[in-house]
Amino acid sequence: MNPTYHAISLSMLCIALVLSSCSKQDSVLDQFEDKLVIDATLEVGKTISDIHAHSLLGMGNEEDISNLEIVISNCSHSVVLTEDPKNKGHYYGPEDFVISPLMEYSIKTNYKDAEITASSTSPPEMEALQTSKEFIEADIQGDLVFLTWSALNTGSFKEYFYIVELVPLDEDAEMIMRFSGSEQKSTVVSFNPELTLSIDDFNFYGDHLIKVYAMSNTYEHLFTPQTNITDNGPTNIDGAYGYFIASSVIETTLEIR
Amino acid sequence: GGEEDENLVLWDGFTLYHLDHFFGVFSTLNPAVIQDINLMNGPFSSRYGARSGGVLEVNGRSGNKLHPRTLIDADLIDVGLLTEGPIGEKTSYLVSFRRSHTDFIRTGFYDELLDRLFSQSVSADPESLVNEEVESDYFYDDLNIKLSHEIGEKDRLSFSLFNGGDSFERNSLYTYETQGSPFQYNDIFDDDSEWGNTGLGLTWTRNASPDKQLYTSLGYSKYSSRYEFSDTQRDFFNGIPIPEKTMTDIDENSVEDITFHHQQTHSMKSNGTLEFGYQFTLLDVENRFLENSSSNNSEVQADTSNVSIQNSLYAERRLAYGENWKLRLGGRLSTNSFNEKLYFEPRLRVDHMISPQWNLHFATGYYIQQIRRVAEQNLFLRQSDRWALSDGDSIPISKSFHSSFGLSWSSSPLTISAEVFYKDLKGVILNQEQNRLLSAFTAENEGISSGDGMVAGLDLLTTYAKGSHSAWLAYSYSFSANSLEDVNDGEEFPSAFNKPHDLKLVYNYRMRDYTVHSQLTASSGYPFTPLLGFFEGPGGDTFLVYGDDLSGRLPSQFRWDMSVSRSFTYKSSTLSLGLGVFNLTDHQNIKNRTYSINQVRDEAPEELKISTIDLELIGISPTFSISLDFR
Repeated sequence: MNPTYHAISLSMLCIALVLSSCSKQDSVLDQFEDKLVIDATLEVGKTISDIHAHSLLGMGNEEDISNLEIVISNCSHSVVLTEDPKNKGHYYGPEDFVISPLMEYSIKTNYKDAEITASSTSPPEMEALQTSKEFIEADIQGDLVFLTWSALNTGSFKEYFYIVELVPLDEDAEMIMRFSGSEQKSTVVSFNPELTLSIDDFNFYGDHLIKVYAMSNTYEHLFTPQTNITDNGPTNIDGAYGYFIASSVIETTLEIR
Repeated sequence: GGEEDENLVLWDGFTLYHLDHFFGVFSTLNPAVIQDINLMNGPFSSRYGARSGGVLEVNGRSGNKLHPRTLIDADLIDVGLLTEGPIGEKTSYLVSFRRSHTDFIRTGFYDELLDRLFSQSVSADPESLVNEEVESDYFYDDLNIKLSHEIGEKDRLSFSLFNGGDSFERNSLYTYETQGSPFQYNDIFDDDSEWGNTGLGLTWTRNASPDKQLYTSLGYSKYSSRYEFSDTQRDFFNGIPIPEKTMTDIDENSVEDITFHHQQTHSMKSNGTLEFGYQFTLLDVENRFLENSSSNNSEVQADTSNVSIQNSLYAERRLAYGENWKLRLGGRLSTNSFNEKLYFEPRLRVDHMISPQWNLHFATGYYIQQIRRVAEQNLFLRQSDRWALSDGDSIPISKSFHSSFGLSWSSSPLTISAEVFYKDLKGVILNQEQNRLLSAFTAENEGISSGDGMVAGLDLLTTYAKGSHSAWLAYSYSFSANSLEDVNDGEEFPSAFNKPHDLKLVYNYRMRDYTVHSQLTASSGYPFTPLLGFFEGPGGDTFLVYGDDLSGRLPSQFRWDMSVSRSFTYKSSTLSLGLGVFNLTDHQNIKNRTYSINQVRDEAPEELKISTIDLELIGISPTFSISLDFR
């Protein structure tokens, strides 16, 4: 074989071998900045008890985000939230900053050089029209649970919908067996001031805290399962994911037997 | 740099719509029956239409006209039989059949292939999974028949048949038991998938005179894929069976193509040749989707059939100016019954010989394509592609304008060539659901976006052939930028098949009875759409967050195959024994990446984990082959 061509053949082989050594494994996630998620629900008449800041879930690198300067403002005041020293990534407001009805609140923070903002207007306070009535009336008949809060000022809530949260209170409650879902709490959406629940809507037997939140209709899409997987999940926060919702809330307790 | 469906694949006068077995691992084109392959990856002649990218024209081999021959071969995947010979003085036959023995003999090679392709297709096992039983059966086969007959001295008639198909069945049983729960969940999944292409071609060529050649062909081709999936939930409460629930999905896609083609080539007294012809094509594309669920008695059904008749006239003039210049100028006029528009596709090529060693060429042309292949979610066990006819709306007609400029140097035994190319693309489509979450079926044309794009690049090729040695080294650089209004806010992103760097080195050495073959490929990885994670809404719903479409890039690919074979000849028969290794360095080559979310029926949302599903190509695999050639 001609030495020149022999050299060419060997050179080709060497080039290919060198190229093969360049095939390092790229970490795809390194190409993208971490995304912040904020879970924030404000409740009329209450202080800010828990705003949770964390990274996206599901990829095995979830973490709570500490040391954020989170500012909550309304038209006249601004407060900086304090991080719970025992619960990293969870922030609370000062005792004297109580959420007022029908007021616009905004949240502002910075994370990795990005400004994160959101705003939400609080609903009216949920008030009983007849002082003799319970805020939430609950009636259990067989496997059905009838809830109603129509005795409140629900006429002021025509542009709102309701989220009913069923939170078990017993530490070692017996689980209600069913096909899907084993979360501690369960959530049901209602567009009327009443709701009929099945026993299957509760995950456990025993005492439950039933909370009814009134929220603006503009947040309805945040309670709708994602059907189009080509879209990113819905959020009302600019620069981050999650939700920032001001709500009115009433609550009662109920024992499921 | 374009999409795979932009290439026209012709086999003896009919079009092939599917080219591989085993989800892309093996080719359906049996090299033992191929006479020659003509690859046109740049601006191609007016003779060809219906595609906006390139042309791969395969001419099947005619049977041996002198004496009969039988070839039997086997390796760790398939066995093959080829027989050919004369029938009288003017007719010859060739029949070749290959079939994988994977459903009879489970070789380690097959298991390795299967593991690579499917083991990672199942999301991470949840803690409650206590039993898993999986069985699968897979086979492929292909049949080639060619009859050639000479009618007098001027006419030749040939009939060609191709039939290639794959079949995959997978049955799996998953049993879940959550601690402290009286429930036992049993999921029984049955997957049944079949796909393939059948083609028939009748070709008549006539040398009417030294100055006039006629070519007439009638071709029929049918591609079909069918996937049936059922999930039966057979659960127990304290050992007592709960009424069974079954969900069934059926997904079918088929293309029928009937093409008549007549062409005449005339040598002109003045200069060069004139080639003109007529082509008629009837395309019938059907999509059928059925989902049936016994738990809520729901049924979803979609059944569409679209027919398009395409008529094309073309003409091409080939001229020579002196010994150093050649010109090819032509055009193609076509119309289709789907939108009844008239399209004109001009084509031009200029070749110039600078010196006996140096040549350059420039070519340009305009191309349109009505039939498109929509890439869907890459659900394992089924073909992830679906052919569809452009409807001018959600799936536009693809239009492209190609230009290329090339320079080559040749001095035996070495040839070096370089070509730069540019393609302007209209009607680029992207199915945003491709490479996203692995889930159930998607409705037809849902998630498809369209827009414009461009591809530019450089191809370098060096070939060497002398004595016992032959080698070629090819390198391609391509830059692809598509822009779709509703994808990534209109920002540019690459084609789903774009690999900026692609290098291939092939070396063959023949010495007496020994043959050594080495093939090495190295390339960039394919783009993919990353899933960054999910967050939970205020009601506990899970919402997924994606990165920009096709903004991620899979790891680079590298594969080195080597084989050695030895032939033993006894009288007129030859025995060949071969040993080889695929992917010598065992590099992990990922074909594509999708995701799934662990959705076991009793898992709580906060426990959901996203699983990355990488479909890997073949790992290091030794192989052995044997063939017997009787003459």
